[in-house]
Amino acid sequence: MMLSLLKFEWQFHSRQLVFYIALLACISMGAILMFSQSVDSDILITGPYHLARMIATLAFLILPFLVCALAGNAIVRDHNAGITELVFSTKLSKGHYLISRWLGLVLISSLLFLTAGVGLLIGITLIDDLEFSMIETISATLWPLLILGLPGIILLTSILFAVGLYSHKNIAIYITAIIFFFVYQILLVNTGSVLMANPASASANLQFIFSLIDPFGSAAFFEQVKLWSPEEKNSQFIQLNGMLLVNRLIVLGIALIIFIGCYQKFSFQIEQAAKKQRTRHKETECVSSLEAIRHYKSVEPQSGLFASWQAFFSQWKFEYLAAVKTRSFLAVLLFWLVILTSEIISGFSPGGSLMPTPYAGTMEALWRFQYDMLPRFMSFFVLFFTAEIAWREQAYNADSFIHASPVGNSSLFFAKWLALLLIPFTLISSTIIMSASLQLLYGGIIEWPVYLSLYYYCGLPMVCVATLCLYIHNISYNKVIGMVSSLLVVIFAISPIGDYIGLEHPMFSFSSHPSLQYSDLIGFSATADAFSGLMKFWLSLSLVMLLVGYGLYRRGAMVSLTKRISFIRIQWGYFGIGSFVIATMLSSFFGYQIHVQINEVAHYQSSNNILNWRVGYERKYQHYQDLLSPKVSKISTKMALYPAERRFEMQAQYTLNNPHQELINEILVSTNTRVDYSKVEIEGASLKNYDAKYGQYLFQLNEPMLPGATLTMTFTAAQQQNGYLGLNADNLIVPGFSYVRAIRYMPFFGFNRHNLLHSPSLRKQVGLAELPAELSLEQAIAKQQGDFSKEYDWVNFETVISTTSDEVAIAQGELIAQWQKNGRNFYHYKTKGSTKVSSNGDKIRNALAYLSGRYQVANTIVDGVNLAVYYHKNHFQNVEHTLAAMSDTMQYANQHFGRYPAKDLRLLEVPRILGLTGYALPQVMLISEHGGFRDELAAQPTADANFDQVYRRTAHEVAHQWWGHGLNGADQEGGSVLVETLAKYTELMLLEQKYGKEYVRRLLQHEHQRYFNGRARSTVNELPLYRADANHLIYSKGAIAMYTLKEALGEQVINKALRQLIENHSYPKPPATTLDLISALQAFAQTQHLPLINRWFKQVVLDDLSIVSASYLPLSDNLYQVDVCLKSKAKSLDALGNASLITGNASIWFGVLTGHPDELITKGSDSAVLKLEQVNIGIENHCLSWTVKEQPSYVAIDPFYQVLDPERDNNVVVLMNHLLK
Amino acid sequence: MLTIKQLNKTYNNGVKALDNLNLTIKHGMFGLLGPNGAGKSSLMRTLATLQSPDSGEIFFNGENILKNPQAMRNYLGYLPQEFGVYPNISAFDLLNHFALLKGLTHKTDRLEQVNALLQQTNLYQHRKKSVSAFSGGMRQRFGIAQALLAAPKIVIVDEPTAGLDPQERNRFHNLLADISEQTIVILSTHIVEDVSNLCPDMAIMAAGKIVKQGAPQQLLEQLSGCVWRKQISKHEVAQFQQDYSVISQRLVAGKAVIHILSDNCPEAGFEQTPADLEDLYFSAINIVTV
Repeated sequence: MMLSLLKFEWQFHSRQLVFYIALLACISMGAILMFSQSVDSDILITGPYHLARMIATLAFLILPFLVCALAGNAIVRDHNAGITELVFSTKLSKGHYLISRWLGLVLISSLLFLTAGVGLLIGITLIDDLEFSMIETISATLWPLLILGLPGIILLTSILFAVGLYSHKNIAIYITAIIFFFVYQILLVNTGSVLMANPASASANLQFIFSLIDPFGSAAFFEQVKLWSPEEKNSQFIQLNGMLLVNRLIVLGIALIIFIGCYQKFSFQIEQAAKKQRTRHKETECVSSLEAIRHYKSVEPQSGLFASWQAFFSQWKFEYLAAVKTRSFLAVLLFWLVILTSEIISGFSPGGSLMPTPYAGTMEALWRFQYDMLPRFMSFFVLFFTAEIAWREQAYNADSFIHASPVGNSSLFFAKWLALLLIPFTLISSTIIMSASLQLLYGGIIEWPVYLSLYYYCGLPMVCVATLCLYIHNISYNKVIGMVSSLLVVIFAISPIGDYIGLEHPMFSFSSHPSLQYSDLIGFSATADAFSGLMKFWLSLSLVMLLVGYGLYRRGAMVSLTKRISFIRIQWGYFGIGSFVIATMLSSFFGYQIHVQINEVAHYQSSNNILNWRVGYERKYQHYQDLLSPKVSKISTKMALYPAERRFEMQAQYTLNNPHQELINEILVSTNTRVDYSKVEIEGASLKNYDAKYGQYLFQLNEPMLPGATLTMTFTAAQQQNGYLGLNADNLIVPGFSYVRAIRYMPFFGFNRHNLLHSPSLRKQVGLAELPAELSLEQAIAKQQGDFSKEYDWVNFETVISTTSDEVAIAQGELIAQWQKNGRNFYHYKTKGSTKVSSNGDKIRNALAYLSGRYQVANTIVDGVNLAVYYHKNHFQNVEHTLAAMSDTMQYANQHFGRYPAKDLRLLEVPRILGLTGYALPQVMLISEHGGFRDELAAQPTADANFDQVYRRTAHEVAHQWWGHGLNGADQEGGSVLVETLAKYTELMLLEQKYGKEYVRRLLQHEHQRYFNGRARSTVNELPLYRADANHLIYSKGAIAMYTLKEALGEQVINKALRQLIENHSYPKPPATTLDLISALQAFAQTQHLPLINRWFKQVVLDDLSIVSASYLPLSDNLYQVDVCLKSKAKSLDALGNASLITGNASIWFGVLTGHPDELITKGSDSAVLKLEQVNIGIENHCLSWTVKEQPSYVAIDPFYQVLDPERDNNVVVLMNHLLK
Repeated sequence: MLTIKQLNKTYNNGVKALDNLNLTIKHGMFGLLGPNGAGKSSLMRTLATLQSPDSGEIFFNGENILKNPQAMRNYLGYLPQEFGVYPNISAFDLLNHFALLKGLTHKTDRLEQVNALLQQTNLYQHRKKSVSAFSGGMRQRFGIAQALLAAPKIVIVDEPTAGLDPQERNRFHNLLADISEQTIVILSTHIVEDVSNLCPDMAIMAAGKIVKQGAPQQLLEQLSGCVWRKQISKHEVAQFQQDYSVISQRLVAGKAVIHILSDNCPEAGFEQTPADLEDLYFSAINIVTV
């Protein structure tokens, strides 16, 4: 019986169109996902780990939609076909009925998901030159499909099955699936999942709960492989044990409980259709019998505009209410508001475990939903509601009433269209109300104009999407085809799928526009021009579709599309034809306009063109690789910024210098093709060749340039910007803020290695020779004989920068003069050294920038340096505090590392959309409005108060004037350590000086977490710190390393070493490498600390500290004896990730406490401490005994996170009375 | 006046629903009789402009409604055989909405008519209930009410009395009879009695064709003296069907009573019987289908 029922399920499902669409979608998603993977990492893409990761990704991307698409056919089909009575009255048992439907759905979903695995394999075979064993790859694909995918399918099936069984509605199933999809994504982000690109830092509790209930087991899976080396990830299968096993069992258990619940509640009875009517009807019944009998009289209907309008209005109201006055819509809305609330609240207080003070600004709220979540969410729901609205009459079989009525097609069609448009606008309105209410609750200032602009920025794209979907439904044969087609079109428009098939030009993604993010400084202006331009195009296209959709409006039954097309002219009438012609002309016109903006003004290139350009450049110019080129020693420019027109014009004069021992005969000048260069001239040289495609100018010198000789080069450069290709974070000119960073846009001399194609696989694909392997630090030192001075690029800089009258322009150097002319502001800056400090103080690193903005300025003078903060007039709250942080850091660094060489140091508030929190240029620092200027400070910054990010960031960026722009390390392995690790160290010292040790511990705990998160996401074997450049190493591990060393060696020792490093390696002395840092530390350290320096910088060590046993014994006189056995193991990892056991960290903090050790960090109070000291332990059990004066509750090892211990569960033990034990 | 000329419709599955159909209908009640599958609903839907024929023409008061469906819709009241309604909307609201769609812009008149129709269909006390929660009969009455909204000049009702109890059916017939004085009312049904009670003009449809048309009395006269009746045992039925043109057979107290069409007495035991509409109907459809 069961078998034949299942056979029928198979026959039924496999005859549905949706089955084949799903099949195609699964295979192609698998193939596309795999094909888009980068092959250039230590993790093999055919390895078991990577395949399991792909399956986990596919599971959450595909399964909710897959099971949802099939579930309607499995559960609601009887109801939809109206044969419930027939089925329920057969002799089929309840068990057979439910199990066959449920199991059928599980099996068919599993089968289809299996084809996604097949898609992965197809994707692998599509990648060129990949060596792999098919059998191993297949088994490595099947295993995660089985253990990650299948239980997930079973759970999803059970959930959607239950929803379908009780709602009898497809829409309820869709909504549940969408909610599942969104919630899962949000949980992935908030638990720091490796699957997400930008995870938030997560709370341990949430992570634990999620890894228990994660339907696809990805959390437990990533936890399991967290410490695997790439080698292990490439060879070992994930194991079904530990947390993963528990998770799989819980997931299956939940599925089973849901199914049993369904079974018990379900019975073969038709629910009473009549709903409870409200009681007031009784009253009317009594009255009605007394009312006079009315006789039917015909009433002449009206026709004409007013009647059409009334009919339209009534139909519109009716369609809208029919869509929103439903439980589905309310469920959607409620769900959205819940998600929105959690997003906005976390937007108010970012920073995870560091807990800065919440700031309830409109911008902070908008950033959590406006540019990504809200549009995506609305797109999906517009998709579903279009299907509902477009087929409402047919779905309820009420079409004959309406279609036979005299109401015009225009009233019917446009009423539907407008009702549909109102749905996103309803969502936007509720979003605004919710967001503003939350702001109010958190005491923020509500910026209504910004909220109102959401109707424009979020609403218009939805008008286009809704029109497109309605159009698709109008030409589709039935609802399912309409829905699937519009889903595909919408997915195509909002995802990068088009890129893979060569349709990546922005004009191919319907209703798309560059990301629009809000900044309090400049609003949406970075891309608002492109938004408006593109929207004109999309709206005019939508108008065309709207008119065609109207022309093809389906009235009555069984009117074929061809017949409707033949009637379209009659349907349209002259007005319609005229509108169609105008709309078509408008869209062609706007299309042409934006094509010009994208392709000509913004210089659009497809990724393929960019690739070919790079390959072409390399082929054509690689023979100049060894051409000796001059260096720039002096730059003098006149820069005119025109923020309102979004352009700049620059005249420049470069002094070139031959630093080599040989003669220079030819000079190759490489320019950015997106900047318009003209009048490029070099004194005493003639232009031999100009290559417009690659922006290359080749000059032949009339006389060879002698060693040490100088020449002058002049040019003008101009650029017109627009927002069509999105934001250029280092090159943005808009009213209120301009930032042009010279480095990518100004000329470069010689063969430009930045243009090279670096990916080995791509190089192989296009037939370029492999690039020589990057030299290790030691090899590079040997090659350059320890002197990297050639890398130096320091210049004298002078500029006259002009901007509009309401803005201040800023560049590096001292402000020599300032004037106004022709309604513009001019500023003359010039780098000058204070000669007392350095003979080369008038030179800075050639990292120049031109800035302008509507700024207020606050300043103070510290140690003779003018410190200035440029800020927006409404963002004044933290200016004093920022200045204080600048002063403190300036004083500390001047005292300990060496004098700051210039007279000015400026800090600018910049728009959040640049995507930086802080960025340091020589003498100028940029700090985002968000976090730096809008963050609210705690009234009393104590250790348990909210973290002072403003002070921390400012100190960090100021520190870069020494680490980065003072000490300019060699551009070799570990170069970033000299920049970031040392800035982190300075930041920690400043925080400790201001707020105390407890405060710093919080930061270290945070860095500990960031290190392990980064490590889990890394695809390469970890390098020792002295050769590292990954963020989780140079920032997080670096911070812990430097702090631990400081604790051991002492602050004075470290600072002396750092001062010496600066003295010996600052420009023009040879640049430093991390080996110089290590030797400087070694030179000042005591012998006993040398291994510690070595361990942190030159080794990759993971510690494993553990409390083996612990108990206490009450003694007399209220004394307690605490007995503990500890162990300290560690493993050192080599370059391939192979571990060898080494002695653990010798000296470790150990504490006996009355409260949980995390209180030492979160509350910063040592009041819970009964005993806290450093102990020396080793691989063997090391047992200790203490006497304390209070009853102890906890013992903890390494409570301050000074050791990199991935397993911290065994570092804290709740103490038990030895006698009770 | 409604004139239908050479109407043809074949569905994608090959079923020929309308086969060169010609028909002229004047004011008053017009009964359209026919068995299931005769093409009545196809014809009704085509008249209601909900479906277009493959070929043919339909003129309503001189307007070609296939070219200008609006000429029909402006004057049409239509009750389809099967219909649904939207959930969660009260009878009053829905009827009011339909009234607006039909162009009743004057509020007082509209409410007056909506309420009158609700009373006439005995739904007034249920007007605040959701139509989707109505029983089958109530829903049918609601359908009738909406068909009579505004001032229809042609009312097409497809199997209207299905599911109505005798009392409601009478009420409905009276209502139709009232409005048929100035209106074309096309009553499509397979219940012969409805037609005989109400319609001064009628047609019988089978296999997509009109097989008989005229006033019921006129048509009956054609059969006058030709209908013979006999009570036989059930197992004899097959034999009689072979030998004579049997119009109909029905069971009376367990015995088969057959009616056959014949100019003379066919054989002993047959008695002549006055032709009724049912004989006409069966003779018409059986002759076509045989």
